[in-house]
Amino acid sequence: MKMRTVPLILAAVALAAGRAAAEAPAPSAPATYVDGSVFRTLIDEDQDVVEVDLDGPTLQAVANSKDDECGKEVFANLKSVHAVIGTVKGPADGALTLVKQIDQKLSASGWKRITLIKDESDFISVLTHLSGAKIDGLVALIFSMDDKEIVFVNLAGAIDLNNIGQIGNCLNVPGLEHVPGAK
Amino acid sequence: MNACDVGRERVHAHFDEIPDAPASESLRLHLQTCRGCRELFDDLAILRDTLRARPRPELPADDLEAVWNRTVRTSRGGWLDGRKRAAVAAILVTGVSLSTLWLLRGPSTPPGPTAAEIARAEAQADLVLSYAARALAATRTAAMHDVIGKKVSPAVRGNVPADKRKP
Repeated sequence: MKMRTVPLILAAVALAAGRAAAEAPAPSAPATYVDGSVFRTLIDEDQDVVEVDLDGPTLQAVANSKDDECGKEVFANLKSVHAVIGTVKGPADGALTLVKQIDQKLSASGWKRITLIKDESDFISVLTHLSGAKIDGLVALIFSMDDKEIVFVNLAGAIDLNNIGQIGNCLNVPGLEHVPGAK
Repeated sequence: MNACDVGRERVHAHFDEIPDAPASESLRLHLQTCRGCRELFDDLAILRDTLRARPRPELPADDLEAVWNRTVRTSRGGWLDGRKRAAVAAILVTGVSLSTLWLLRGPSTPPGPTAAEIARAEAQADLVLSYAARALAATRTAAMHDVIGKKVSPAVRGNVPADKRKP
């Protein structure tokens, strides 16, 4: 073996090791994760946009920073929090059609719709995913025809509706304690 | 292996190992009874004596130097011969690959989020949950007032108090 071939072998080994690490399976997303990237394409970038992707250590840190009354348990049991919030750039009808399609697709794929509100100005749909008797995923779709605001929210992980009231008190959202399913 | 095969091996061993020593007792006994082995013994003795009788010219100095360089100096002068070099290279490759794998795949402690990142994440999480809560609150409002009764799912309508329902 020539000594000059050794660096080549070392480089090849390092490359192979790097490739093996790169091909290692990434941490898998929760089963109730819903990709909301399609909504991102609808949003007017010139206006306020909120895109939230929280999971892993960051979400755990948020849970640790909460006190008991402000939903520490809720956050501790969540595996991921995803949301897309913004203003639709095109016609409201087109966005509403897409929102309805997503809603129907989720409903047809095992998600249980617990709320569907449609009127002249708003579309609100809330769907939950059940694992046995427990909720392990939630999707909220909100679209306002008036101001063309679209909201997609996906929570993955154990969700206890009884704790929603506590969060509402903390976040100053009135009426949450009376949400169906909450005691 | 018959007695003659054994005898031939003893003859060869006699000339290869201790050519000037007298034949052993067992070899002499076999040579007395085996003509073939005795002829072999005699031929080898003649060959040995003939070779010893030939003149021995000295090896030319250049040839001696060449032989010296390719044998003694190579093995002693170089700190590694081919096999040792290959072994060292193999050890190096193994060590580097194990170290690389350990660095890339071994347990590591990624740095946690900073305080600013946590604060931002907390604000985002609160915002998201407030929207989720708003959607659920809208459910309650709609159900309580029964404004859009038929548009709310039966599961939700089941939570409306009886006195609030439309007759």
